Amino acid sequence: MIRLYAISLLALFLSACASGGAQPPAPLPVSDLPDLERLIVYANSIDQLSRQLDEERQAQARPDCPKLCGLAHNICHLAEKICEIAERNPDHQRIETKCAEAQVSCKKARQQLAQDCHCRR
Amino acid sequence: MTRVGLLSLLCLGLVGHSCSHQSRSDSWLTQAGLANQPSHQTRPQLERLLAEPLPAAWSARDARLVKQDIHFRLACLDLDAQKPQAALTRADAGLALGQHSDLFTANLLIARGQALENLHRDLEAAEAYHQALQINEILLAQALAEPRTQP
Repeated sequence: MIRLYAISLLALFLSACASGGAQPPAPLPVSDLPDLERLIVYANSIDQLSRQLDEERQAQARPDCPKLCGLAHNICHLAEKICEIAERNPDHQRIETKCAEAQVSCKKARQQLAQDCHCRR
Repeated sequence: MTRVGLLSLLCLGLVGHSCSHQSRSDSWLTQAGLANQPSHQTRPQLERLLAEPLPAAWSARDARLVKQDIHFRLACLDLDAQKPQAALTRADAGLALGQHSDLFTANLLIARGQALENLHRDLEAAEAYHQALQINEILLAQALAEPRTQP
């Protein structure tokens, strides 16, 4: 039991270290609990810290901006081409509709990347 | 063509989308001995590659992608040479190999759209461009769902 407890403490310490600057876990009020209950409390804390660490890693991870920006650029470039054709053919409602749809797609693509990527094009 | 050559070729599709993006294809063109050659010299070699049987070990998908990329390049050469009808035929030949939500199909659709536009068939051109746009939307959604790179 003592060994398990030590392993749990070690894991807790490592999780805290790995979070790299995250808030240290608050002291756990476990001193008065029996060993087994104390272990469960620590195990739950480790789970919680592990989840926090995963969330932090996900938040710090970088998207593949060159690829994403390239795809967004393609969408917007194609939208421009479709709308150029629509301008040349004002009598064709179908192309006008496609132009409107394409512009929405372009705007959506740019919005999706606005937060994470600074696309130049 | 070596496996490395194939992989380089497959990478081309990830950055294509315009006949003017020739610089992106340098690595494969070097592999195939086609780099820095004028188009009239490149064309016969591309046509020869297209006519040659591909290695039997390649999957059907790999073979399709390689052939579609060659059709796309030939269509680009036809567009550069002001031969839109030939470019359209070439793009359609590539698309006839199968249409999927990938950049190889999108490239061929764009070449088809450019050819149709040059032939003053605007309605069909807009359709082709729109199909290519929809593929890019799918690819963008897939890319956004991919796991991010750790800093």
